[in-house]
Amino acid sequence: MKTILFAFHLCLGMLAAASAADSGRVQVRVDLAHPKLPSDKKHTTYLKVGLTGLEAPKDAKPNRPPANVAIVLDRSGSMGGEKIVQAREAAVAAIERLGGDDIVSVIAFDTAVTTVVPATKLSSREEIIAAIRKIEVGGSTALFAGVSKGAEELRKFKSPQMVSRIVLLSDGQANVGPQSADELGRYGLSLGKEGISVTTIGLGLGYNEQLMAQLAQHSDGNHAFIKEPSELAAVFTEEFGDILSVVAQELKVKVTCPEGVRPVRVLGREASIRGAVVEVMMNQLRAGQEKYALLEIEAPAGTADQLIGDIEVSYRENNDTAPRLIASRSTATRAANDAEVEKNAVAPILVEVAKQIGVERQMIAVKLSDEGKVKEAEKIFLDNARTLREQAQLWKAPDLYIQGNANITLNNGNNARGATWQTYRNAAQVTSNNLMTQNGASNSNAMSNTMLLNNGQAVLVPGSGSLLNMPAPRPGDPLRLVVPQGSTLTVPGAVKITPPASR
Amino acid sequence: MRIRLSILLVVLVVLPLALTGWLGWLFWQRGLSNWQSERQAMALQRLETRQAELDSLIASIASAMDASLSKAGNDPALLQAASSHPLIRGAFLRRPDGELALPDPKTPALHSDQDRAFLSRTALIWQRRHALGVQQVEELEPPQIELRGWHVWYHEDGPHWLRWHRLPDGSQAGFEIERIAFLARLVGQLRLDEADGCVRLRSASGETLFQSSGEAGEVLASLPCAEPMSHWHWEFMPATGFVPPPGVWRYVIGFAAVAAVVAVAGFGMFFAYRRDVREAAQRVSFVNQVSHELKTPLTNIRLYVDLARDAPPTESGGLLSVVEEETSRLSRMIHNVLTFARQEKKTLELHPMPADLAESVKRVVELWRPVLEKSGLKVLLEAEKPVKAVFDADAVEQILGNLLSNVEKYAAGGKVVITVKADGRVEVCDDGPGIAAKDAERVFEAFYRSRNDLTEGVSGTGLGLSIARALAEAQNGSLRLVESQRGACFQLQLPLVTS
Repeated sequence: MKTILFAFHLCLGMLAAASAADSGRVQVRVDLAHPKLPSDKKHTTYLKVGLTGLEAPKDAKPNRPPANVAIVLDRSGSMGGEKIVQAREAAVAAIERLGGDDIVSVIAFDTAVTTVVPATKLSSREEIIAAIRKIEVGGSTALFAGVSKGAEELRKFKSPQMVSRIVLLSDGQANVGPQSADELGRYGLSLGKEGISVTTIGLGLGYNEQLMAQLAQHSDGNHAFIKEPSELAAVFTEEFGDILSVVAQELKVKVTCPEGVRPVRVLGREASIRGAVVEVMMNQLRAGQEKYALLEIEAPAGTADQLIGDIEVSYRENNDTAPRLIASRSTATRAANDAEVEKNAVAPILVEVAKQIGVERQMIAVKLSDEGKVKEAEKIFLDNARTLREQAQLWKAPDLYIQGNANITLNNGNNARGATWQTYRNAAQVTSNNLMTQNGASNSNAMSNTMLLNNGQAVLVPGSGSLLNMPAPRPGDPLRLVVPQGSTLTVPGAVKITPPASR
Repeated sequence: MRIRLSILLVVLVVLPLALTGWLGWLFWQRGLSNWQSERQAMALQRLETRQAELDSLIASIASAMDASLSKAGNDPALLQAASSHPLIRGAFLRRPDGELALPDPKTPALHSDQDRAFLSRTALIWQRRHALGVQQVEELEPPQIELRGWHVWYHEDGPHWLRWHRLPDGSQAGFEIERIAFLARLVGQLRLDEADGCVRLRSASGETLFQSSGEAGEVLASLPCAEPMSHWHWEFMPATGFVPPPGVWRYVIGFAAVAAVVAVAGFGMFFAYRRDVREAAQRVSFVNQVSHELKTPLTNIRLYVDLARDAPPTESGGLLSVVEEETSRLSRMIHNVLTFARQEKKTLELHPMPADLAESVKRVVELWRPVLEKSGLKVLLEAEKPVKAVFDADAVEQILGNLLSNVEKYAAGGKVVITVKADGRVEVCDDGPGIAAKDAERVFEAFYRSRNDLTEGVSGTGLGLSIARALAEAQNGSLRLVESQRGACFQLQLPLVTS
C-alpha cells in the first residue's frame, strides 16, 4: 500500500513540473525542483535536464550504429590462473555478440603493450578469437600505455557514426607510466572530447579504484567492480549490450540563464559554467537509459514569474550527419509563502540532489579513510548517513535510506580496514560512478548488486519500500538477502538482482 | 752445456710464447673495449631513431595547432572554440601590450572553473611583462623575435606546455597542452617493439612514461628528448643478444697456432743441435778409429817385414803374403775414407758400363774367399748364368768388399751365401746374429754403429754401409737390408742392360 502511494505521489510531482519535448529516439525532460519560488528572498533550487533514450518501435527495422571497440586487457602477473582464463573467455563471448560491420581491437598490457588484434572489421572472427586465446600473463601493469594504444586503435576507423568505446579490465595498481587518479581522470576527459568512452572493470580487491573510476567517469563510461573472475562474462555481456543499444551520441546540454539567475554548479558531472552559460557534455545515450544534468541555481527575489533558463539540447542520433537540436525553457511562478514553496517542491529531483550530495560527501570520507584519517572519515560517514536518512523520511525515499545505511556499512569497513574496507570502498566507487554518469536507473546497476550478494550484505539494494520499516542496522550488522540459485529476484523499483554464479 | 741448452730453450720457446700471450691479452682487452664502444654507439643509434619518431609525432601535432592558432587569429571566441580539442587544456590571447584578452582577467564572473585553474597555473608567465619568444641578446640591439614555439613551465604536479603563435599585430595566441592526452597520443603511436632489447621513455622524476616490449637488462645508453620535453629522456636496455662480445676463441686459436710454430721451431732447432753435437762426436771418434784401424795393419806390416828380413827364404814367402794381405786391407780402408770424403764433397763420380755382373761378383768373392775361410766361414756362391747389367766394376767390388768385411767381422764361424740373380740382384746373406729391426735403416747412416754386445771390441769406422749405399745409388741401383730367417741379408740391386 505504501509503495503504491509513493509511486502515485511521484507521478503527480513529475506531471506538475515537467515540460517535455521529444524528437526521434531521445526524449528531453526539463524539471525544476521548486516550481514556485518565494517572492521575498533569494532561493536555491535545482534544474534537471533529463535525456532518455527510447526503445526502438517494435516494427522498426533494427538500426544500430556500428561499434568500434578496443578491449584492453591487463595481463600482468597478478592476472594469472582463473582470472586470465575468464578474461579471455569474456572477451571472446563479447566479440561473438558483435556483428560483421563492427570493428574490434584487442590490446594486452603488462610492462609493455602488445597489440593482440589490431583494429579490424569483424569478418574473420576465428583468427581474432584464436589470438585472444593466446594471451598469457607476464610482468607489471602499464595501464596508461594500454589505454593509449586502445584509443589509437579506435582512431584508425573512428567516425561520428560509430560508437567508440574502450573496455578496460584490470586487477591491479598501475605501476608503469602515469598512474595518478587525477591525471587519468583528465585523460578520460580528453577521450570524452573525442567521443571515446572508457568502461573500466575492476577485478578483485587490488585494483586502483580511484583511478579506474575517474577514467570511466570523466569519459562518460561505466565502471564496474567484480570480486570473482567468474562474473566477468556477465559484466562483458552487459557492457556490450550497452554498446549495441546506443541511440544517440555527442549529447550537449546548454543552459543560458537570464540576468539575476546565477548558475552555481552542476552536481556529479564535469561541466563548464561561464558567466550565465552552462554546458554539460555526455558521450553516449542508450535505449532505456536516462542521463541528466542537475544544475544548482540561485534565483532572485521578485514578484513576477521568473525565467530560470533557456535550455538547448543538441545530439546526434545514429546515421545523423548533422546534430539535432531541442530547445526548451524553464519558468517558475511565485508562491505566497514558504509553506507553499515547500509544498510544491518536486520530491524526485530533491531526492536525486540528496543522492548526489550524499555521494560527494561519501567519496570525501572514502578518500580520508584511504589516507588513514579514520576518525575524520567516520565523522563524515555517520553525519552523511544521518542526513540521508532524514532526507529519506522527508521525501519518503527508500533509496536515500539505503544510501545512508551504505555509509554506515562503509564506516564499519573504515574501522575494520583490510579486505573488508577494500570491498566496501570499491563497491561504493561503482555506485557513485553509476550515479554520477546517471546510469543508475538502468540495468547496469545489476553489476554492483551482484557484488553485494556475493558479499552477503544487501547494503545497497535499492527500491523496496518495505526496507523503510527496518530498524537502522547497528555497526557490523549484516543484512542477508537470500536469492535462490538460478533465479532472478525483482525488487519493486525495477532493479533486477542477479544472484552470483555458483562457487 | 745443459744449462746453456736450457737457456737456449727458454730464449727460443718460452720467451716468444710469453710475448705472444701478452700481445694476445692486449688485443683481447682492446677488442673488449672496442666492443663496448660499438655497443654504446649502436644503443645510441637506437635511441636516436626513437627520438626521430617522437620528433615527427610532435611536429605533426604542433603544426596542426599552429594552423588552428593562425586561423583563429586574435578572435577570443574562435580560440575558445578551438580549445575543445582533446589535446588542449586551455587557450589564451595576449595583446601586444602584454595584457591578457583571453581569459580576460577583468571579467572574473565570466570565468569557468577551467579558466580559473588555467589562470592560476599560468600566473607566473603573465607576471613577466615581456612576450614569449622575445630574446634580448645585446642591450642596445633590437630583440630577437620568434614567431612560434613552446613554453615549458613547472607548476605543482609537473611540467606544463604552451604552444604559442605570434600574430601579425604583435599579439600572441596559444594553447595549453593537455599533457596526459598528448603523452597518450605519443605512447599510442610509438613503435611497441624493439629488437634485442628494450627502450624506455622517462620523465625527469624517473617515472616511466613508455616502455617497449622486449627483454630489459641494465641501462646501456640514455638520450635526452628535444623541446618541449627536454626534461624527458630515452633509455636503452640491451637484451643478452645485443651486439655479442668478440669470441675469446679467436684469440686462443691464434695463440695456440703461434705457440705450435714456436714450439716446432724450437724443438727442431734443439734436435738439429743435438744431431750436430752427436755427429761432431762421431767425427772425432771416426778420426780416432781410422787412426787406430790404420795403425793395426801398419804394425803388422812392419812386424812381418822384419820377420821376413831375418827369416830363411823358404819361410819369407808366407810372411810376405801376410804383409800383402794387410796392405790390401790398408788400401781398402783408405779407399773407403777417400770415397766418403768425395761423397761428402759431392764429387763422387762413377762410370757404369754394361758388363757381366756374375763374373765381377765371382772375381770379388774369389779374392775374399781365403780371408773368409781363414775366419772359419763357409763361402757359397750361386752365380751360374751371366747377368748383363750396367755398373761400375770398382764400385761393386768396393760394395761387396764392405759387405764381406762385415761378415768376416760379425758372423765368423758361420756361413755366407752370395747369390747373383738374373734380374740384377746380388744378395749377401750370413747366419750370424743379424741386425735388430729398429736399426735396419740407421745402419746405413755414416758413423752409426749398432750398439750392442756384438759391436763391442770390434773395430770399425762406421762408414762401410753408408759408403756402400751411396755407391749403389750413384750407379742407379740400391742397397737395403732384407728380412731373412736368420742372420743379416743385404740386397744390392743394379740396373740391367736395356736393349
